[in-house]
Amino acid sequence: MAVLSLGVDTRRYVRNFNWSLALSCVALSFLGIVCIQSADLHSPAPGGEMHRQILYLLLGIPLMIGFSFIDYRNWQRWAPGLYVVNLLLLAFILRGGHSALGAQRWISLGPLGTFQPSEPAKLILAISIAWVLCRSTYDRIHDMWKPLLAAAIPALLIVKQPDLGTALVILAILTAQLFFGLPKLGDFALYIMGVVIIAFGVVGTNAILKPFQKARLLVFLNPKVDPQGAGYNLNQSKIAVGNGEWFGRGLHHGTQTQLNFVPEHSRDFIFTVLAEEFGFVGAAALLVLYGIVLYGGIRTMIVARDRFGFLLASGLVAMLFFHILVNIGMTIGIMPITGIPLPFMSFGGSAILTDFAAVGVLLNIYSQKDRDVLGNA
Amino acid sequence: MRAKVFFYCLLAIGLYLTWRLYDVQVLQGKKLASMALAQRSDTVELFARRGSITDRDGNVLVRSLPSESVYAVPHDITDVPGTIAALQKIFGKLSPDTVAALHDKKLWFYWIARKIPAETADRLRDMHLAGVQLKQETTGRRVDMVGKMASTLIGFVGTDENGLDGLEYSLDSLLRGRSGRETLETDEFGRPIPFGHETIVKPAVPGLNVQLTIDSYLQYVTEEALSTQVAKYHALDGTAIVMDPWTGEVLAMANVPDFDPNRFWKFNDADRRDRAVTDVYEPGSTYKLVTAAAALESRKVTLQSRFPALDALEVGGHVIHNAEDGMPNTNPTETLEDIIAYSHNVGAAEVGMRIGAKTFYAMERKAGFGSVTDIELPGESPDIVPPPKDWSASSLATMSFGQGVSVTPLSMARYYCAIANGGLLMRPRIVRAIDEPSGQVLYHYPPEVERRVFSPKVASELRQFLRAVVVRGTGDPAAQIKGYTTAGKTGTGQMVINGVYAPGWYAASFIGMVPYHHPRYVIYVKVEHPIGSYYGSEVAAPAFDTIARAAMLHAGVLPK
Repeated sequence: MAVLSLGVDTRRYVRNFNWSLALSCVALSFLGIVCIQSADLHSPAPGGEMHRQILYLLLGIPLMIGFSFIDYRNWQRWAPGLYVVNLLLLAFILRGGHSALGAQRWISLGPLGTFQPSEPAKLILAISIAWVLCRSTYDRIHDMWKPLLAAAIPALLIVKQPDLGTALVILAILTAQLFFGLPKLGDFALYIMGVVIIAFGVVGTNAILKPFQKARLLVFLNPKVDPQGAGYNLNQSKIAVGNGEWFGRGLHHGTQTQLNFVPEHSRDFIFTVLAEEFGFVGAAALLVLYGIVLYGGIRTMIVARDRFGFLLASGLVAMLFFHILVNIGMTIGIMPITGIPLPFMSFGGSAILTDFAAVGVLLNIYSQKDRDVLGNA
Repeated sequence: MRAKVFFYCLLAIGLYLTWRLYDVQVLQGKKLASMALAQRSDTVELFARRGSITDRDGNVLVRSLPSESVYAVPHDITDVPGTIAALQKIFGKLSPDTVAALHDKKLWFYWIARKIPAETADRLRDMHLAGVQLKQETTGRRVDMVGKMASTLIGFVGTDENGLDGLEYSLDSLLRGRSGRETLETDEFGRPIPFGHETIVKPAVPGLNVQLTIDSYLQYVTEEALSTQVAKYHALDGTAIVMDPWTGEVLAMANVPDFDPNRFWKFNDADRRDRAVTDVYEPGSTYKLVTAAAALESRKVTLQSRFPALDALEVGGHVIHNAEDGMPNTNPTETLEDIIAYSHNVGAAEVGMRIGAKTFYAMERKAGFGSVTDIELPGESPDIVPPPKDWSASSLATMSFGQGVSVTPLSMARYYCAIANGGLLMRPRIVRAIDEPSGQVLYHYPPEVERRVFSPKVASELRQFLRAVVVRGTGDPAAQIKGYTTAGKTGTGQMVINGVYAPGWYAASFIGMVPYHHPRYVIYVKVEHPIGSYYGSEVAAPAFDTIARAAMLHAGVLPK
């Protein structure tokens, strides 16, 4: 009954539906299908990944619409429960998860494929931290431990998988939400200094990062160190992107990705497929689409009717933005290689469902922009 | 306020990202695109067929076939035991190493067999074995179509079709094609992509075909006749040459022993060399024709000049005897013709001493002795014809009957060609023409006259002497053929082993021509270290008869 008690005003919902946000996400996911189809062309089972991705879209788009009907204030109430479930799932895969490429990230769902709990974990973290930040005014600096701890526990579980990229996404969400949530900017500056110090500590010791993760960081700093080894992905990806030039090689004619010089091209390196086959024009168009999505997210933050909605939206915008920046950045060598998918584009069910769910939440927050704060609290 | 800061931060980062993309894709695009092209291209060499070697009628003696090699991609083999069984059906038992390699799933490449015959390759292709691939080789498989025939002449090639001996070696630059280059698009493992962009950078240029002056029929007959005599007298080795005296073309050149070019590695170097040009020997009495030519050409001796017929003569402290293969004296004096016909060493020495060292040596050099013939065969030995300043007191006397000089069989045959054709020293030819791969003649070698050795009159007188040998001298009746007129000279030279005369070791030879009045063929036969007899008339002349008769019949001249 809780949902209904905060029920949806249908007329207002339709009037305030952020069409540009929703449709640009759908457009991105369709573009993703095109790129996955091309990336998958010469695999042992061509089309397999594309068909599965279409299935994910058929689930994801209704999921987005469904989430947009759920009043976002419910998430504030469900936050503690979601947070606990999230920790349990993350703890579970450390013991019983499927390992792939040396990392334990998946839970097998039998015929449905695999489930990657670290993807919804980002969404749940954004909700949880927003909830934590709403529970107090944070006038005093030492209250900051609450959101930090709330983020640190799942982040460490994820680092342990090991999945540095997702942990960094959580850091990005936390940072954005603290930026908007802390009343004093001085406190935020202290937080940033702390993060920088810890980051140097992590890179300086071998305690937290796995050797391959450190290698990736070192290669990022100097890609020519090991062009066939750790630097291979980076160099190949950059060559492929550059090979696109102005207008691209044409669909299915991106030689570098089609010929497997670029690895994992339907997942982490889907952008190289687009960039090589559609060129700078295609890549810029993609950035414009992402710009519309992010602009919709920021508009949502601004029109949010309460602190929770504002903080939640900022966390989700930060999540999407960080994904886009790091993923595209790594393909052209301005970011280290981390396994962060490109939102709506990369092949993978957990990721795309999480992306659609996040946009669904944003749509709901946006749709309540003219809600009477006092009258309907 | 903070939202505004946030918005502008995002905008700034977004613009930076766009600029970086522009940088990579547009500004650095050309460079990266060329790196991409280089990375996915692989340049392979293209097969260039090595030219064939044919006889004078175009019959192929040696040719190259395109060849393929088989390799396995063990990683891609789906049914390992089935694949091994199928391969063993074709190649016989596979080595344990190969079997182990085929089981190794991590292996991407393993040679199974190199340069297999085309039929085997086709059978393999029809089997469609997963993980078993054929690769076109850039050099072909050399196939000697005639086996041992003319093997010492043709020589052989190495595994990469590089000529190692014989004409294969000396004509390598003509026969060898220039392999082309092709750039193929490849995947990340360097494997060519089916239907990928192929660019022929440089087409392969096949090698030129070489047409020899050899007549296969005469070559066959010559080899048979020679090996018959070598076998009959349990001889060490033998050499026979048939030449066209008017053109200098070598129509047949045979050696015993010989070898099989298809399995050249099973024979040693002694079997593989062409003794007609690589080995010098002491010619003995056949060399008396040089003395006679010098005598007549210098007009110091005429046909009527008479010399005392002696059995022995002391010269410079050495006593010269008539050799055992000469015929006994019947008259107190003899003419030059008698000396040649009966092969009298003492008489030849008297002639030599009458004309003098200068005249004799000049004729030796004019006759082509003492230098190489420049035939297109490798490893030609120069004759050993010392100049008069190196002679001892008895040198002129002994050289006059062919002792103390060493010449190659080819030099000797060429000199007799000059006698046959009226006095012209021809450049011996083994290559008749160079043909384009299409069959069109690129270059036809014309007969080449080196110089006139003596006048036609002297040549005709020398032929008359050679005729006398056959009619009434040492060649009677060994070198007579029923129905044809022949002329020629027997010879028995002492063999030099390790620098000293080996007692009892002789090189028995016969050099003749047929028919006498207008010789079509000069035929040289030499058999070394025969056992049972060492007379040229007995050991070598029978081979001459066989070859001469066959040659005449081959030319369509019926016996009268």
